[in-house]
Amino acid sequence: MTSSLPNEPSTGVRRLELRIAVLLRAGVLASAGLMAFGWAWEWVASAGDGLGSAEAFAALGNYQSRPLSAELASLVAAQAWPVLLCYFGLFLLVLLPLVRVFLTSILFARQREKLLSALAAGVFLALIASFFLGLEI
Amino acid sequence: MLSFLLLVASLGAGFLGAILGLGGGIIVVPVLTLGLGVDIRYSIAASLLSIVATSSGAAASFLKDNLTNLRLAVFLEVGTVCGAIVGFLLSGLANANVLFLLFGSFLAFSALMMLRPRRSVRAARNHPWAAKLKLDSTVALPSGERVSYAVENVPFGLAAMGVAGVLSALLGIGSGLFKVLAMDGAMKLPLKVSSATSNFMIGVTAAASAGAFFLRGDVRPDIAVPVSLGILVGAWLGARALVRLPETLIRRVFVLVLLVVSAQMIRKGLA
Repeated sequence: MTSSLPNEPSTGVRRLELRIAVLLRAGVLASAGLMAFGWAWEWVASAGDGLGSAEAFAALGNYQSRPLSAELASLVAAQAWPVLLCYFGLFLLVLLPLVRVFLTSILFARQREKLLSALAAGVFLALIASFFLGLEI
Repeated sequence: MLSFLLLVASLGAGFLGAILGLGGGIIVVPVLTLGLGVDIRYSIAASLLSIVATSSGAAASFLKDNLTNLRLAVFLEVGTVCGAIVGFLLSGLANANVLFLLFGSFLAFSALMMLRPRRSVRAARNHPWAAKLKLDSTVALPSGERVSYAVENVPFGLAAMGVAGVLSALLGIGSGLFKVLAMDGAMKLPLKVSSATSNFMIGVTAAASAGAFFLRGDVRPDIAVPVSLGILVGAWLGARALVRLPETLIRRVFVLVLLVVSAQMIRKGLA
């Protein structure tokens, strides 16, 4: 079904866009659920001495560069599963906009909007590349 | 207990942000740095995660209202993502004092922008790029009638989005105010379209640097988790309370608070 107004997205496109957005919302809820569960688990397991303790906050007053890989390795070695769950929830959260942009690129490709699809794909690749900027080589 | 305090503070930040049309970053970063003594770099990283959360969670609402110009958002995201990458690289060079000075200055700028009278102006003609990419669209008037709008100054708008991306990565904000200023003032988009499209883009802008901060190890769950959760819930509550609260009064009070906090952050940066 096409619209009679210039450059107005068709009903079908709009419906697909909304589905993508609803998927994003589900992703946010899943991520929030993981974080909340991990945080509560850590709080119970450590009797308040883990995440968010006074000592932990005091340490956050001074910036110390430590790559995520090193942090995760030490958490795995210490079997700090609740904290790892929190990290997983945070990672899922960061991935959501990438998913949105990727699906938008597909959406435009299906509508034969090659230029916009290519732009969205470019944004997606730039987002992937931006992640690697955080890695210490 | 500090985590719960942070959760409550973030809830307030999300609530206030939803009422005033701001992201939580402008509130959260000063609370973390000035209130809890967290290093500004950890605060910025946590703030960016919370921005991703609220933007992704609210994307459906932005699209449902038929105000978001998705084609324009995709095009302008090229600018914001490139800017955010540059901003992340610059953040590695800037020390904490510089970040405090920049943030304080941005808060003062935001306060002045919040006092600016809002008027909606529609462009008469498309820029050639807008015509090529079919960026023009339609917007509904209060009467329900849909009218078309054009898009001007596209290259300037793209460059402005680049600057917005740099600020987002450097300061841990969504740069929504800056984006709306560029879209409304320079590209002559209707104000509601500017706001909706800006809100839609904010998550991608934040993600461009949030991923890098995350892998660099700057995202600490001690603060990122309560901040993200608090802002999500606060924003949801704020959106529901919006119609019942005196937005103008709250806005004026918030402008005063912004100016005070701005002065404190600039002072900290000069120390």
